[in-house]
Amino acid sequence: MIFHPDVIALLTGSLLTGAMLIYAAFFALMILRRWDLASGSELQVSLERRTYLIATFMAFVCTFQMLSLFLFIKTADGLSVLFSGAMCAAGTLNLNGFGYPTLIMKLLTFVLAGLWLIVNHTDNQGYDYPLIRVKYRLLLATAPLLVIEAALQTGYFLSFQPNVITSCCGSLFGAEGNGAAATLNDLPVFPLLLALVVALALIVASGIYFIWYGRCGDLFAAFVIVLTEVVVQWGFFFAPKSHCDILFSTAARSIAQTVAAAPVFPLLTALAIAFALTLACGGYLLGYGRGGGLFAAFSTATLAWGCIALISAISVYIYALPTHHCPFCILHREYGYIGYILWGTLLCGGVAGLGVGALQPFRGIDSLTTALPAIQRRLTRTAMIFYGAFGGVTLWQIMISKLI
Amino acid sequence: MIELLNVHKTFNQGKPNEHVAIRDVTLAIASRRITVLKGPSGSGKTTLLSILGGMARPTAGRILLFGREITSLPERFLTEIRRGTFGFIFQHFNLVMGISVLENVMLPAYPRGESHLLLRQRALALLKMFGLAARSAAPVEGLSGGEMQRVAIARALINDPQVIIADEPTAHLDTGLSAEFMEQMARLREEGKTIIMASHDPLVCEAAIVNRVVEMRDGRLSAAGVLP
Repeated sequence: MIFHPDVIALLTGSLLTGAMLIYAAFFALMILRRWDLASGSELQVSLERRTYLIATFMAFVCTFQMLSLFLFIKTADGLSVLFSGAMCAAGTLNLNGFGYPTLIMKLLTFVLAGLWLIVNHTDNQGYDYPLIRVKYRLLLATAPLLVIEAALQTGYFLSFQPNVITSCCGSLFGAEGNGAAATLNDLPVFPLLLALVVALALIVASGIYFIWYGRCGDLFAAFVIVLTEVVVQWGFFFAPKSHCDILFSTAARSIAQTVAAAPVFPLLTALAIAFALTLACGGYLLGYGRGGGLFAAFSTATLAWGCIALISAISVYIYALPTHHCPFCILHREYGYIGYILWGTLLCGGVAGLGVGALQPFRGIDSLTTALPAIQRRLTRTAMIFYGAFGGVTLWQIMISKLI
Repeated sequence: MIELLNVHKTFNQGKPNEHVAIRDVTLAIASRRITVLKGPSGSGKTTLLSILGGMARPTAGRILLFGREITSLPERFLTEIRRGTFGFIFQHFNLVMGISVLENVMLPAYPRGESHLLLRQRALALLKMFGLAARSAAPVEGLSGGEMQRVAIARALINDPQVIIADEPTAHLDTGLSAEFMEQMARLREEGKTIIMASHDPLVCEAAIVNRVVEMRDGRLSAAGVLP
């Protein structure tokens, strides 16, 4: 293990959040089993009091969890100078089999922690704890993932071998390779950018529509799931190896190779079908004056397309190198730390947009009649601001690129 | 109507100094009436008043305020109800030293974000009603006991509450001032306020204007029960 302040901070943070999560998980089980607002029993009154404590420290845990994604990448990036072959976080994360799985888990928990904060905030706006079971179920679903992520992160930092020569980002994210990133890199630039622009335009349009009319459609939840599944876990659909191989293989390159085995055409076909279905249902729902679910769906699409486009198309303009697609080098000082802005705005916009959809099923709850639509509108505005910033910065970077 | 259902309050629960202050109290308090909780020191009167007014939460049991259950409410909702529904008159008045009479009266209304001008006018009207208009700019340190109490009453009324809660209101007053206080309470009742007092002062408990006396002992409603 390397006694680096950031490493110690991440490990200590994980230890503390893990301990708090275990306590919170036991409390969540008690809430799910024994919560009865109609009862004035000693246990019920005690649960009502303790939920303040649990929710408060869980809010800190989730906030830390979201910030720790960026700290983890910054740490991995900073450690690259210590290892032969590593030029940035791409190489450092490839040092052992825990690096990229940790990153994937951190991305997943970033979204879940963001959603938990949104659900918790909404629950606090109702006088009768309207989402208490929902938020503790979500906590129970998130807690194991956070614990696994903490274990993976610990494994990653404890398994450093100073004599390992790792790969640089040029080989891991090179267009000529056959890794996952290479497959993404091979996607054509113009259609990708066009898709991103269309997705951003749809987000802005549906966001304005939703703020104006304040109505949503539940039908889109299914397509949000379809899109998320297809886009984010596409490798899992087509990979010839098992999921365990993907997550726990000893080299990031094997993850890349496994995912790279996915044929591009079926992937794009699946994406096109999912997107067409989304648009068709969007038109249907628009006809009936609903827009929240639509917005959540397009937010998800933009998040997915944005991630792909950032690696495959946008990065080349920032580096002014048609062959360089590293998602981490843009975090460096020589690129003005622009990567933190791009990834940060994209992820935060995605979480806010998903939050609109996550709250959609609860619009009928009496105690949230006023508060919930207002929260959804705020989230919509937040997502639009973040996506707008992402689009603006992307456009600016392309316009000042030496490739133009 | 305020209803208490099986209210129980334990302090320092599970510790060696555990103390049960309220034991399984079930009680209904009528609106627009003066109700007095009577009992010796340590009988649980003040604790029960605190729970009734939403300043403390019971260990078990529920309270219904005009049909709405309030003990389970999250703190921010309970605070809103406490601020808008209840006016408190404390045993030691609890006026804030170092600021004027007027500012003391206006203080509980500040969180509601009303226009300062309107609030000031309302506070001055209350002080005028209690004969303290001339003392509005004076610091509270210079007030007599009777004046302090009238300021405390004016402060309790600033948010126009439906329920006035008074804890041992005559404990520091002489007979004349106590009688004056009871007259003010009678006037407030006529205006439609519900008044709940905790006291063991005969001048309060035996006053003709009191509609109901609830006797307490050792945290329970006493064997004598609820009078009349």
